[in-house]
Amino acid sequence: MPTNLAIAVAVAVLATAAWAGLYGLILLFTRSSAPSPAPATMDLGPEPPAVVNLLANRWTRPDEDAAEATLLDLAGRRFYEIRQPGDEPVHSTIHLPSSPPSDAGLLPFEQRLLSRIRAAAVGGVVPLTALTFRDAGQARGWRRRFDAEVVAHARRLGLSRRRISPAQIALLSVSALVPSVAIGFALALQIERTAAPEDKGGGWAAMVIAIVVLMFSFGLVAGRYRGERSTPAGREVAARWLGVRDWLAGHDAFADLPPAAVMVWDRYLGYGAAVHVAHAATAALDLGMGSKYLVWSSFGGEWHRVKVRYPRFFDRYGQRTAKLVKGGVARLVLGGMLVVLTRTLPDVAPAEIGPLDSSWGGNDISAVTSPTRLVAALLAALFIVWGLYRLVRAVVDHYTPVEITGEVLWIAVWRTASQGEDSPSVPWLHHYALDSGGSDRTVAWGLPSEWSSRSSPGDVVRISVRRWSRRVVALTVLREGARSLHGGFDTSDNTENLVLEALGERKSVPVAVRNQPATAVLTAEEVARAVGAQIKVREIGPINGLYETLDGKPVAMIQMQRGPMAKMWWAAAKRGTPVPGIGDEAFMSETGGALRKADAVVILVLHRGGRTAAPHLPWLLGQVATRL
Amino acid sequence: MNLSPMVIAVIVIAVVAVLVLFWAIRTFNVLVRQRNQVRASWAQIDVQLKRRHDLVPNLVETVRGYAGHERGTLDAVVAARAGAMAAGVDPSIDRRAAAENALTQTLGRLFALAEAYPDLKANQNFLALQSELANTEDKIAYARQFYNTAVQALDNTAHSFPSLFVAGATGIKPPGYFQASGDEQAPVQVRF
Repeated sequence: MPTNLAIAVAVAVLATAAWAGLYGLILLFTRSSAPSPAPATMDLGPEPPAVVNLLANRWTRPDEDAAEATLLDLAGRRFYEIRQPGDEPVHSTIHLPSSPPSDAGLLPFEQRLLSRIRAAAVGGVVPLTALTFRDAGQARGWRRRFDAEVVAHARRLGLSRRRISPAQIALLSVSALVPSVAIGFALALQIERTAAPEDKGGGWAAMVIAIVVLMFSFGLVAGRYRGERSTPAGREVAARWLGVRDWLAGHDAFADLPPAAVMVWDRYLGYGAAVHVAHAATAALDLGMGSKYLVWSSFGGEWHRVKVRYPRFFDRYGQRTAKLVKGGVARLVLGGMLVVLTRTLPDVAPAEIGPLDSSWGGNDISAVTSPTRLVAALLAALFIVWGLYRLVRAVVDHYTPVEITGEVLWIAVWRTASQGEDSPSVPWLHHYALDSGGSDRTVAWGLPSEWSSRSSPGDVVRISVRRWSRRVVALTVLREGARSLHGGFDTSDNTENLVLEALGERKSVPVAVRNQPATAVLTAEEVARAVGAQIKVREIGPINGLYETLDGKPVAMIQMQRGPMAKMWWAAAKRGTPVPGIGDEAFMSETGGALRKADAVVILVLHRGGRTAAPHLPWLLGQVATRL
Repeated sequence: MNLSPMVIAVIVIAVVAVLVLFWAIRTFNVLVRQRNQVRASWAQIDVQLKRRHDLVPNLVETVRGYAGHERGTLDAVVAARAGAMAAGVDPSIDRRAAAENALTQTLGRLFALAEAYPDLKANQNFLALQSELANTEDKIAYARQFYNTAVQALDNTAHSFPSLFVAGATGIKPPGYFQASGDEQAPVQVRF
């Protein structure tokens, strides 16, 4: 390595280490140490348990006890009652009163939890363990929003602040220029050193690109949310609550109190959970992801648990009839080939067999006594029988579908198809567990993955299924469950943005709207009316949808984007004839149209087979605008 | 090395004695901790009871301004308060609890009496005192719960085998529970 390159690399390494050291120092100095506890006291303060949990966790972030403490606290304030029918705290149930206190004074995260409980209740009752989520994305999103609202409230009270301040982020971002330039320079030297004479100069262009990319990357690292930091007021309040913790911890029996004890201990149990003293109570509570093997169902008007089995082994599960028939035929062909092979295998020498009974005939015996022939014959028989069985069952399965009505218990990816070495596998079949009310056990069905977003756990659906292949062939949502009515919880926003939203310092797009797939804004029926033919719709990811005729000819494609990317899309899409009165702006041409409303941009492209819909574009775009 | 049976016996006895000693020390420490928790819990009750005693004179004067002729009830409250304060130095938990429960009952009669005087009910000072007293009663109730829990824990340890030997030898005895009075526990009579 030439000296100048070695020096440049060394400088780049040192500069990066220095930047990392600066970042580490900032993290070190912004760490909040635990304050010294005040004398033990039973006097509670005005702060809600979830905020107390944040302070007790040294301002890192609220943990799972924050939500559980809030649940107990709301019970202590008589928004509902917790009852334990037997010896097991996990069998406790929540009972909503007919005339609860007013929600007016509830904080956003308290309201969020209370709404979740009310949405899950059937006949005013919900088992404690039925409060778990059945979708990992929902669980994650709910928790992130809950935590963000707790942090926002703590900041509002002046008890907490962002750990790395905007000034520190700015310092880190600006200082990132040094390692970015050093690395870029080293990269440029290396490229120039190894480039062909006619390609000289490209290294410097690469340097500029590298600097921009590195600055962006360093900025992302610097701006990443790293939890909260104490304030002087927060430390004082935390010290007082640590005194309460010491008081509660001094009572050994408090740690063994079940959730139902809140009816006696009132808010003390909630605060005990917040400061990690009420171990038995928090152990019985779980507000995260539930188990997919034992799921609560309210189908039939009463809560009950259903054991779910997820079939895995046989390859026929979830397959279309055509594929099953092909498989049967393939086995028959293989069996036939084995029959032919059996006849062509060499005989065993007669001397090796010994004296033969003339009634058998020498050749027949040699044909069946050869071990290889025997195996081949057995295999042939096996494949033929197997193939016939598969063919018959596939045909019978196809023509004898069964309709089942029930509550969706669980939806999860079952089988995926590889897309090649460099592409992730794509799911093509989902497990679809349904409680039809007949039994406390059920076996999941196979749902084509393109239908997986049509329903959510908790919905009551009617499905048409083929029993042998366990494939769902038709799905109708009869009634949306309370959870899906409650709106999507999933969010990919970072925590700081969620906190700013909760503080009202950032505009939020409703989550249910944010998670809207592109095909939700324009139905197949509407496109069918415009085109004059029957249409089916296929989702291609969350932002694309394809409308096709029943025989698979593409008619139109819809694309939807939100946020900063949408602005780039709009810049390219807004051409053609303006169409006033649709969304904020809309344009159309012979090949399609585009509209913008708030932070969303929708582009509708008419394929050749769909150009007959061009006169109806204003109507189609208008329909889209009403759903944005 | 061959040890004589006598030496082995001595070693075994010594080991057992050391183990018993460690157990005794540990048990004693647990008893002391639990006894201190009982005392701390009682101290919390004491704080709340004293606070209640301090609120009563102001309340009595406020009611006297509107219902001065209800001397019987007012005098009963004043007497009950005096009794409770006198019992504050009594080492017997039962006697102290009885005195405080008597004050609770007289205060209950006083608030029931106030229902008949709309002007009194609308008086801001009266409402504030009533709220403070209700708050204090709640804190007394919680403090009583904590105290009784602590007494129960000490009671269980002190009377369980074999820790009862350590408790007996060191004189650590659980005090009585802070119980509700007999009238509070009686079923509520309803007449139509």
